[in-house]
Amino acid sequence: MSDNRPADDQWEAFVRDTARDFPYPPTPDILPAVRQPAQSQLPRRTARWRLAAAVVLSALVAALAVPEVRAAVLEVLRIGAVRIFLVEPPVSTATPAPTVTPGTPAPVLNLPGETSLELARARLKERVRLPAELGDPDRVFLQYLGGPVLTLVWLAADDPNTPEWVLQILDRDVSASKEMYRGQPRDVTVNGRPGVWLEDVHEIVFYRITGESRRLVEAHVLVWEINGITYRLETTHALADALRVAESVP
Amino acid sequence: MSEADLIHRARRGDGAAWETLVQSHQEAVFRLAYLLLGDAGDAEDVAQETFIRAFRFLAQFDTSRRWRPWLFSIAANLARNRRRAAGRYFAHLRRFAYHSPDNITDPEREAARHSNAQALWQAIRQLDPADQEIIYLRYFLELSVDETAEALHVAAGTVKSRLHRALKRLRDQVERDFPALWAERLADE
Repeated sequence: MSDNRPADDQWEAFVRDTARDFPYPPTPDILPAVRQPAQSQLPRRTARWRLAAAVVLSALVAALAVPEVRAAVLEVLRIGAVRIFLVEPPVSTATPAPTVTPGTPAPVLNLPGETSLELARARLKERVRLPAELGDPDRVFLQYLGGPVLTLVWLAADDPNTPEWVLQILDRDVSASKEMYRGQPRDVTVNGRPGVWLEDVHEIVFYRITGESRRLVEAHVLVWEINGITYRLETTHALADALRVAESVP
Repeated sequence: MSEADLIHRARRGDGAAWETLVQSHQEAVFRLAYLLLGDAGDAEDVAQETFIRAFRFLAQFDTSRRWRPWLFSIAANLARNRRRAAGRYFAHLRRFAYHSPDNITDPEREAARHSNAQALWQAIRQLDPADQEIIYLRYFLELSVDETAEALHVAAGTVKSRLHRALKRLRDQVERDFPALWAERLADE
């Protein structure tokens, strides 16, 4: 090329002309995730939930708000619609078993958009995939957070306030879901697909315009993806049990 | 209705005005993020966060200025932060990248075979991030020199001198690694 090296103006014109041909991927519709009225549709926590979780949540949120701690929040990995942020330093290498305050409905049971399995199937069709290990859920919630988020809850046999299993199915359009996590994510495989196991109380955040929808997760979480659909399985059971349930999702 | 009017209305809670602003600029913001990150999913996240931040700081925006350069400035900052984080955890991220259907982790490998524009992009991505940003703003998104200056918070004269140097480095890069690119142009003429 040196024999035919372009002059400055030729080169600038070449760059400009060539740039115009750049094949961008299709622009996704950003609007649903940043629409102003959406703030009124954000999940609202009840007074009972606030009372039960205020101490733990405020401590966590306060820790995240401290500048030096916030500066240490780093994105570590992404699975489908979920991004997992490691909050440094980890609180402890020993992870206490998650606990639920007796007699208080778990936060997940206060999600807006409660519906029936039949209606959810009518809306989402084949995207509603139930783990054969668990059968039909006891409670069903459907929210739109940039895309549909289906939450299926199986309650503990002896306590209608306590979920034993929670399966969230996040469509590929769901906006910026983030798990703020203080422990060490553990790499696992679910039917041969990569997944992550988070073993600690942590927080899940859905970002929307002018606000964030936050929920404290008082359980372990298994996250994996099937064909662009992200699955989050929350439970107080051990990893082996969670994997058995996850692998029964068709 | 002017853009300044739309911003004033959006500040007062007019959802329709805000939607018009988003729809007018979402493609350009997404494209800048894509050029900087090379990943459609990450670009979408950055575009969303750009508008979320823009809304939060809308009250502070000086409506005598142009909105698009301000948006680009936010998007470029977010993309820069993400690129730094991605670099630090690159090994970790790569393990999860291959199964994401819309993820183009190695856009160079995918794209270069198809067009001169993509080959040029490959060359640009090997430049310093500051050179990349100014080339994307000026030639890919076709901002004027003044708009580019606003987006980068520098004087117009600085934009011109930086562009001159960035184009020179790009020409050297193309000459070294993509000699066919300019040769094809000569053959076409």
